[in-house]
This record gives sequence, C-alpha cells and structure tokens, in this order.
Amino acid sequence: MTQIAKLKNEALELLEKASTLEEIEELKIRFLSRKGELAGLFSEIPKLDPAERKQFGQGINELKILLTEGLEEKEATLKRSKRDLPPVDITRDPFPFRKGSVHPLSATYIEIINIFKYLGFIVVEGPEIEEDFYNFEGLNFPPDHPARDEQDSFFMQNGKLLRTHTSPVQVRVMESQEPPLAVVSPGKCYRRDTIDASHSSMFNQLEGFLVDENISVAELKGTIKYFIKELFGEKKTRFRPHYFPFTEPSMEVDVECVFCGGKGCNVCKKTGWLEIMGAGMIDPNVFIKAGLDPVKYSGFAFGMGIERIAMLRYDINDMRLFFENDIEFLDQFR
Amino acid sequence: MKYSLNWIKKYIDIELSEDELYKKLTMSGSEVEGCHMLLEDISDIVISKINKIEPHPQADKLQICTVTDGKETYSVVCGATNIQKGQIVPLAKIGASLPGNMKIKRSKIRGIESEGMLCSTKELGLGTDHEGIFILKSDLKKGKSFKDYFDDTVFEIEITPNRPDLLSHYGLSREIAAITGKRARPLEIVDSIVGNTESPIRVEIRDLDACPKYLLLYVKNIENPSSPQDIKNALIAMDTNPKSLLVDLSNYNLFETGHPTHFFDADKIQGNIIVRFARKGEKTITLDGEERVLQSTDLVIADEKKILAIAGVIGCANSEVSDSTKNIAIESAVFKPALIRKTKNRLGIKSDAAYRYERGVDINAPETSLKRIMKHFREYTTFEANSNVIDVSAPVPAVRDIVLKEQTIKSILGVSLESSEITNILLRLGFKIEKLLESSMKVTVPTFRYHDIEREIDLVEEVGRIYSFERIPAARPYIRGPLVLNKYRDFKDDLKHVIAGRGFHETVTLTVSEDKLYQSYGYQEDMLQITNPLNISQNVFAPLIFPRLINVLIRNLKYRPEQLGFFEIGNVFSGEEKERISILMYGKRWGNNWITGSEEKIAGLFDLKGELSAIFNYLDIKDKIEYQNVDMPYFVPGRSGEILLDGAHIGWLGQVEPDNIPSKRIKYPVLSAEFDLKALYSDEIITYEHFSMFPEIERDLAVVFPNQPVNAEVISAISSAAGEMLTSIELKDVYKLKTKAFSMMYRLTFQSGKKTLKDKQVDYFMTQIIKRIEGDFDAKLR
Ligand SMILES: [Zn+2]
Repeated sequence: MTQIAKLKNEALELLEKASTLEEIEELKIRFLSRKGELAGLFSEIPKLDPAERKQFGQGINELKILLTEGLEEKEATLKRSKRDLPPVDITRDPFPFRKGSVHPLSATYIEIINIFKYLGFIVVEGPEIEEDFYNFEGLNFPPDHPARDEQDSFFMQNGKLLRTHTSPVQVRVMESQEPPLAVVSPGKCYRRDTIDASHSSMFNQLEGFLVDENISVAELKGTIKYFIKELFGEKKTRFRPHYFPFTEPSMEVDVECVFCGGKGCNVCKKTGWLEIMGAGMIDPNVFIKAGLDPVKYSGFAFGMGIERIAMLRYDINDMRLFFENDIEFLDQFR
Repeated sequence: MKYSLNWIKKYIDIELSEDELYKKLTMSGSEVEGCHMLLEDISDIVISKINKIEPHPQADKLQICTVTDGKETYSVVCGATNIQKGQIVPLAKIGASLPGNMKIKRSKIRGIESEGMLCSTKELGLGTDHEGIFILKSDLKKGKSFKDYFDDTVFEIEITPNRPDLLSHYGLSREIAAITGKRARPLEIVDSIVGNTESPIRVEIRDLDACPKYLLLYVKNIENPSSPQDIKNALIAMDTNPKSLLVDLSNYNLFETGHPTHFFDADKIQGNIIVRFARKGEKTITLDGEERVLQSTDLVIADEKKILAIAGVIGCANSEVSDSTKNIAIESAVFKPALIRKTKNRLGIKSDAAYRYERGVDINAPETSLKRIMKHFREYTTFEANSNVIDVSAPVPAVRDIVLKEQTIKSILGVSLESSEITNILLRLGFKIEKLLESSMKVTVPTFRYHDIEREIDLVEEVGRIYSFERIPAARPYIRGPLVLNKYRDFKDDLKHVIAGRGFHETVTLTVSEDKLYQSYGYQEDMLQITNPLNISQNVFAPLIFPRLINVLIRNLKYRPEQLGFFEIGNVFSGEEKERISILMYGKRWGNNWITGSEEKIAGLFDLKGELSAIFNYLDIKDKIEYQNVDMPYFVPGRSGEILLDGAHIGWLGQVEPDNIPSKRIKYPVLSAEFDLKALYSDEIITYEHFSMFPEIERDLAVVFPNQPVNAEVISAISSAAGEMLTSIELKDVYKLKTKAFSMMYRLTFQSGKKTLKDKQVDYFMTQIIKRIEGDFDAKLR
C-alpha cells in the first residue's frame, strides 16, 4: 500500500513542478506508458496475498485516473498559454463599419405594399412622364374642366406632362390585360404646388384597384378596412362621399386621429379624423376608354399619399424633411 | 366656399346643432372645413339710446352725448353729425374691443372725459361708412349685446367641382333639406315681369352654342340708395364690401342663387348688345383697370362700338354702374362652361362669376334671378319703368330622364335597398320619379343638377351618399388568379436594403430641378424642359441623379465632415425615361477608433468599385459585368470608366471633378457611380452547376510591362491563352519601376472538373500564357 502512496506523492509533486509540454510528455512516459511505473505496480499484483489484491488493484486504478486527468489538464493549460493570446474586453467598440439607412418613404411603401401583396394584389409601375390621355382623358377628366384645377400639371417640351397621380397606371393595365386585375402601383407624382410643410412639387402615391365581376362598395370597404387595421391597428374609419372624375361613387377615407384618439387636436384640425385616401367605384367611362365592358366588369380604385402616411406613422410634422435628406433625419430610420 | 348661417336660415329651419349640421354635410359629401363667428374680434358693444346731446365746450365739431344701456348712463364724446336724441346706437364701453386690435380706453378728448365710443359700421367691421354713427332700428333692446343682433356663423365648405348647384346659399339650403328631410322655402320672387316701357337696347347672339341663353331687363330712372343693413351684413359675411344697392344686389343675387348677373349703365351702351367672339388682338379695359388683349376664342358682350364685358368673367369700366347712373340694363345669361374657363385661365382672372360659369349654371336660373332682383327693387328702391324681359335663347334642352334599375344599385353599392327607400332619397334631392316595370324607375333630373347627373351610375352615387356609405357592410374580396407577378419592385426593395446595409443612406431628391445644376457638372445634352415651371429652380426633368447627391453631401458635411455615403433610385430623362441608381461615396473608408487607429483609409475609386462588386455579386451578375477606362466630362481625367453588362453600356463610375463642386468643405475625393437599374434585373432561375472535387493549383505570374497596361486586356490575353482549366485570375501586386515600366503580379488558379491536374500540365499552360503576354505586350517575365 505504501508503495502506491509513495508513487502518488512523487508523481503529484512532479506534475506540480512541470512547466513545459516536454516535461508533461516525460511524465506520461514515466508513469502511464505500458512500461511505466504504474504498469510496474500492476505486475506486482500476482505476488500479493489474494486478500490484498483487490484493494491494491483499486488503488492503482484510482491513481491512474488521477494522474491522467491531472496531466491532461496541465497539458491543455500549457498549450493555451503557449499561443500567447491576451484576454480581450468584449465590451469595447467594434470595428467602425458605416451605418446606412433606407429612406422612410421607401420603408413606408414596403410596409403598405406588403399588406396588399398578402391580400393578393400585384405591383405594377408606370412612367412619370405621361400622356394627357392616361393622366386625364382616359380617367374621365373632361377637357377644360375645373376638376383639372386640383391637379395643376407640369407640361413638358415633348407634349407630355408629369403625371399628377398614379391613376394613369389603371388605364395602362386595363388596356393591356383582361380582368381579374388586382394591382397596386407606387410612384412619384408631380403637381405645380409651391413647397411648404404639407405640399411639394414632387410627392409619392400608391394607387390600387381591383377589377372583376361582381365587385361593389362592400368589397372596397372590406379591403380598405383590412389595410387600415394592418397599418394603424384597431382604429375607427369612415367613408365620406367625395368627388373624383374617375370613380363613381367616390369617397374619401378617414381614420380616427392617431394623435388624439378622435378627441380633436391640431393635427386633425379638431375634427378627430385624418383623411388618408381617396377611393371609389371605377367610373364606367374609364372602363370604356380602356376597352373593357362596364356591364360585365366592375371594380374599385383607391389612392393614398405616402408622405402623409409616413408623417402619421413616424410623427413627422414637415413634408420638406423627406426631400432635404439631412443625415440626422435619415439616420433615424433603418 | 363660405356660407352665412343666418342667411341659410332664411330658407330652411334647422333643428340640428351646428356641429350636427356640419357633420351631416360632411358625411353627405360637402366637407365643412371650418367655421368662425363673423364678429369674433368684437366684445363689449351694447345697444344703447342717446338721451341728450350737448355741444363740446372746447371744440366746435365735437358733441357730448349722454347715452344709456338701460341701467347706467355714460357720457361719450362724439364727432359724428348724423346723431339725434332718442336714437338707438352701438356703444363701445371702456374695455371693449373692435376689429384691428382696437381697445376702448378711458380717455379725455379736448378736456372732456369720454366713457366709451359710439361706433360707425366701419369701426364695427360691418361696412365702409365711417363718417356717421351706425343708427340702429328703434326696436332693438337697450342693454343687449350688439352681437345678439348682428353676429353670424360663417362656415366654409369644400365644394367639389361636380356640384356647382351648391355654390349659393339657396343651393346649399336645398341640399340641407335633402339630407335632413326638411323642405326649403321657395325664393321670394315677383310672379312675372311685365314691361311698361320699351328697352332701347336689343340683343343679338352670334353663337347660340357659346351663349345658349341671354336675358336683358331695362329699368328706367332707378334710384341707387345704399343697401338695407340686412343685405350689407350678408355681403360682409361673404367678405364683400357693400357699395350701393345696384352693385350690392348683383353680388347678393350671386351668393343667394349662384347665378351671376351683370348690371350695365344703359346710357353708356351704344346701339344694341351683341354677344360675339372677340377679334384677335382686340383690346379692352376691364373693371380692375387692366388692359386685356383678347383672342378669337374669347366670348364678349359688345355694343355696336365697343366691348362691354368679357362674357361671364369680368365687366369693362366703360359701362359700369356709377353714382350718376339713371337707367340700367341687367344681363342674366348662360355661357358655355369650357369657353369661360379657357378665357379666364388665359387672362388669369379669378371672379365669382367665372367660378360659377366654368362649373355650369342652371339653365333656368336667368329668369328666376331677374324676378328675384325685381322683387328687391320694389322693396328697396324706386324706378320709373321697366321693359319686358328680352329673351334670346337656344331651344330649351330636352327633359333629362334616366332609367334606374334597383339591381344596379345592389351590384354597385353591394346592398339591397327597398324601392321605397330609393324613391324617398331621390325625391328629397329634387328628382321626379315614375315607376316602371321590373324593379326600375324613370328618374327626371332637375335642371340645377344637369351638370353632374347624366347617367344611371350618377344616380347610384346620389342614393349611396344619402343612404350613407357607412351603412354598407364591408366584405373581403376573393381575388381570382392567376395574376402576372412582377418582382421588379421586390428586386429594387431588396437592393435598397443591401446597399443600406453596406453603409449608404438612401435619399429622395426632387427630380424636377434646374438645368444649370447638371450643366455645372458637365452634362452637355439637351434636357427635357418643363414649359410652365413654377420657378427657375425647377425647369427640367433630371437627366442625371448624382449632382443632387452631391448637393445632399454638401448639405451634410457640416454634420459629418469625415465620412458620408448616399444612394438614390429614381427616374431620369435622357432621350427616354429610365430608372437609374446612383451611389456616392465620400471620405474615410472606415472611421478611426481604437482598433483602426492609424490604419484609417480614405475611400478611393477602387473602394467604390468594391462596393459595386458586392452589389453585382449579390445580384449574381458579376461575371457579366466589365469595366472600360473612358474619360467623361463629369470626372477627373483618367479617373473614370464605363460599366458594361453583357457588353452593353449601362453606366459609369469615377472621381467627380472637384472644380465643379461648389463647396469649400470638400477635402476628399467624391466618388460616384450611376447606372441603369432595369438592365440588372433578371427573373431567370439560377441552375445549380456541379462543382469540382479535385484540387486547385495556384501559380504566380510576375511580369514587367514597358508601359502601364490595361488590366482588363492582360486578363483577357491570359484567359484566352490558358484554356478552360484556368478558374481565376487575381491581380496581387502592382508597382511602378524607376523607368516607365510597370511590374504586375497575377495569381492564377487552375482546376479540372475531371481529374487531379499534374504540375506538368500546368507548366504547359503557363508557357502558353507567357508566350502570349510577351508577344502581345512586349512584356518580360520577372
Ligand atoms: Zn387629432
């Protein structure tokens, strides 16, 4: 028994002292190899009294485990310290990558389009430099009619004009495709408005329309209510009669003011409501001009200002901020 | 348009509160945009009676009045000459406010204390007379607030262009009647106008399409007093200054019935009235004192010598009613809306008459207006005689009948309405109805709705808006497919996030911009001009994007002088409209902090090119992209190039010429890339290619060129000499030798898809490559 204890003391002392991987290797050979000292002790077993054999064997085994683990642990420690990697403070600043951002108008568009995509609408884009037919005539604006006043246009040298709304895409799509049609169309529009906190000569709109058999105001309401719920959450809405040349009946859609909850504040001009889009049933004249049969098909259309919705969503009070591109503004968006 | 609530109440009893009324109007399509009290600037004015008038001891022109409000008496100094004992007058007490921020204070006038002020209509904001005190009717109660008798609510409605019939107090009353289920009282008019004198003026219409109706009434020796206060108050509520009865009645009639009339001084008309088109270049001076040069599309009212009025737009000074007017001729006519609109827009004249004529007036309004005006004449003035109404008109238009099917209502509104409900709504709106078979009806349209009710669908809208869209149940549509998907928008949106993720800020700048901006950066082509720009800084549709990104850069240097990156996706017009992306990079490649320290690096062209590579990699088109060294006017010579996709030019990149940038803050290179976006989009589906499992062999090729070679050409030579086992070429090192010579080191990688390459084979490829390079470029192996 004392043989084991003696060997244990010696081995542990050497293990403690060992400071290089070579020394560890030497210790492994000396104690644990097939011809090592522990193996030597095993060979002693047959010479012992049968009563002592079991206990002696166990003692050697325990020592073997102890030494193996001790050596491995020391070896690992020595190996790591040999790589010479100092510890780091992970709380320090990272490598300085530049941060970018997607414009809040793009982010708003993406959010809105995703809602309509989920409903089954597809996206179609149209030109910004547009023909009078698509911007006005095909949309049932009579020539020389005051309805055109609200859409004061920029006229171009090439006889075209800058589209005053995204509605021309309605005519373009209906001309080229048979229903069913379920389309949203985002894009820039232009009106001869002087720039101020709520006007700009360039602004963004999203047009949407659904044309099929048996589409009524009920479907219009269902679609728009779903959209508003997805975008603004559970809010009251109202559908207020209005006039657009290309829809009949026409309406404007108001949502309960997101700032005052409908009590009335400066943003909603004390009405408790915020106007967020125009909508209506597509006028039969629009179908006829696009070559579709107004008896067979009906449909609804709607259009909304993206700046207005972004202003409501992000609590932005001045439309000019979108086009000035101050980094301190842009940086606040992802 | 503005409306006076008092005025509306003349025609209809309103039981609703003001808020309820406005809500009902708004929810039936006439959005009430605001309201205010007419006398909101006035306070503490009381009705009082003059008890005594004494002369002022120190001033001849002043008097001292003792007035009472029934409780107390006040001593007030007054300079007016029209006052008498016993009159009822408005007294502004100490502390009272009047329009124009005027406050009444206790004061001494020429030594005598005045305890307030007696007010003229002008001082009260109710007229233009400031000489005399406003003498009130004797039945007004002393001590009552002046506002109790004279205040009014003025509310404003956005009248949509399809509803000219609402552009008057009577018209709106009719609408309120329809939405509240009441009846509007008929206008008080004379039964008929019977002449007792001949009109010396006859009427001739040259074009009955342009002027389908022209009525003229001649009135002889008419007095022109000032209007009764009632009419004055009504006009003031409409922001119109009362002048004299004849002028005021024309305005009053316009705001009351919506029909414009024109009063001529009959003695200034030479011969007969002729309604004709102007001769090109014909001139006249209009009421506003402006000389107008007319065109042959302008309709005018003329006599045999001169133009009297630009039809439906504005009168001329030469025949205006004045203080000396004795005999008048009243025009009450209908003109073709599109003509009026064209003339009014070209001449830039905004008038209440033109506003109504361009939207369309009721074909029956001319008669009613004359009868209404005659009623006022009999009440408020005296005249010697009047003529019969001279009536020159096109044939009366046919009665407009529209067949309305109940089924149409159901299919458009999505709700089934009882036939009685439909009938009830239409009757209230003034339509006449005759039942037909098979759930349909014949609807007769009243003439005041001729401009917007032409088709069955127009009636559906009327029913819908009065029934209320709010009551229609919502239903989610089932969208039938298949729809042709277009993923281009998704492609762009994804791209925006990729580029933003690489440290660039997306901008949105105005595409309507100034041509000088693009010229200042070297754009030399013609630009697409806007023919009616709002101002000079927005006179073209942009041909490029990057100059605007430089403006954004300059704007932001004050916040971030060291490092900025922007990108924008937008349309340009350069021969055609197309969508482009522009990327701008400026300043430090990365900022310095505790890690980078001295390693900070200013971004150069190849940093921008690296960003482009990352984008093209993401789009999986890197192999299709090539670059070519090309000098361009926008960029520093020798530091720009074209980007080609499958051999076709799609854009460029370069270091912007610093001399063109109008900012002293710029201290690093401004790097710009701009290219067509649509060309990059492909909806091709990627097919998986088997990749090689055999080892690669790398070889370095170091070559000395006598002059700087074009890298793309060297690579092209290497590739064509090496054959298909060459899988990649990387430029590892470049340095200029002391002579003009350049040393370049390329790392070539070879790999076979079928077997392990042997060194001997690669040696053979290398020999071929070296032979080619030495031959093509006069280069030497280093
Ligand atoms: Zn609010």
